[in-house]
Amino acid sequence: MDGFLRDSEQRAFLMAMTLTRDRQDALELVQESMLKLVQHYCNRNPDEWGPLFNRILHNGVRDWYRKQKFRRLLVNLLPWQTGDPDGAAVEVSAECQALADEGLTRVLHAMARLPLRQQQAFLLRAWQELSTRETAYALSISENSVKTHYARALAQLRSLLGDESLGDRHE
Amino acid sequence: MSSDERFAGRLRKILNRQTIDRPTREALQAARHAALDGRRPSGSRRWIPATALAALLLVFGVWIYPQFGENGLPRVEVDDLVVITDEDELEFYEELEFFVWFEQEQSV
Repeated sequence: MDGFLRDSEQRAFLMAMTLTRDRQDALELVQESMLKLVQHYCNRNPDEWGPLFNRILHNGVRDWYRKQKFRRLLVNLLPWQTGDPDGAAVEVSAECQALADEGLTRVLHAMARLPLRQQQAFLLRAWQELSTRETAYALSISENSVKTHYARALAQLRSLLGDESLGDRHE
Repeated sequence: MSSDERFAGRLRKILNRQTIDRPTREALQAARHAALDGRRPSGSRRWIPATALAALLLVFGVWIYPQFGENGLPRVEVDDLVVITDEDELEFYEELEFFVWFEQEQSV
């Protein structure tokens, strides 16, 4: 199990970081997912650990999104508002990324404009190169829903980014 | 290869350029060890929504709720009740100070 987690932790963190845009929350999500895998599925066949880990992580991200919505609702209700913490996080993240890689920043910004399900479907299908079936299992949705979310994500990203000048030609 | 696959491939290459700094790698390593030991993340920030909700309930309980009666309508003071249920016209109470003064004048 230690070896599996060591091999998976960095990609899981980048996945969580891309979806939450918050380092601390991403770290906690990955640790929670690791803990659940260890506690509940340690005795399963190691071949099952990958799909299970993906599923736990993406369920965690979904819960995180729900909590963020609730938190935003509460913040809006409170009489003393201190600005939009999520907006600030996106700005800080974008600033850091811009220093490192303009093309990457554009992609991350465009992705942030997609609904969560489309982001997840895109990351699992295009980035992690999972099959439609594996993605459906990770997201606990049907294969047809994966196809729909993925197609919409690609269309939206294409319209936001365009086909040219993505910053991937000068490596 | 379809144009969608080509486009997805280009985005994959860009996303693969993401890197993880050393402190984060160390934090991930610590998180892995904690998970293997069965320890939960410290998660102090997870209390923020609960704290905000508690503050909201406190504000509601201290400032807003006392203004309402059991039936959800604004609480009515006993003095107000006398005015509302009295047979006298409301104008009488609006001019109450005048009538008090008038009565004092009459008695003098």
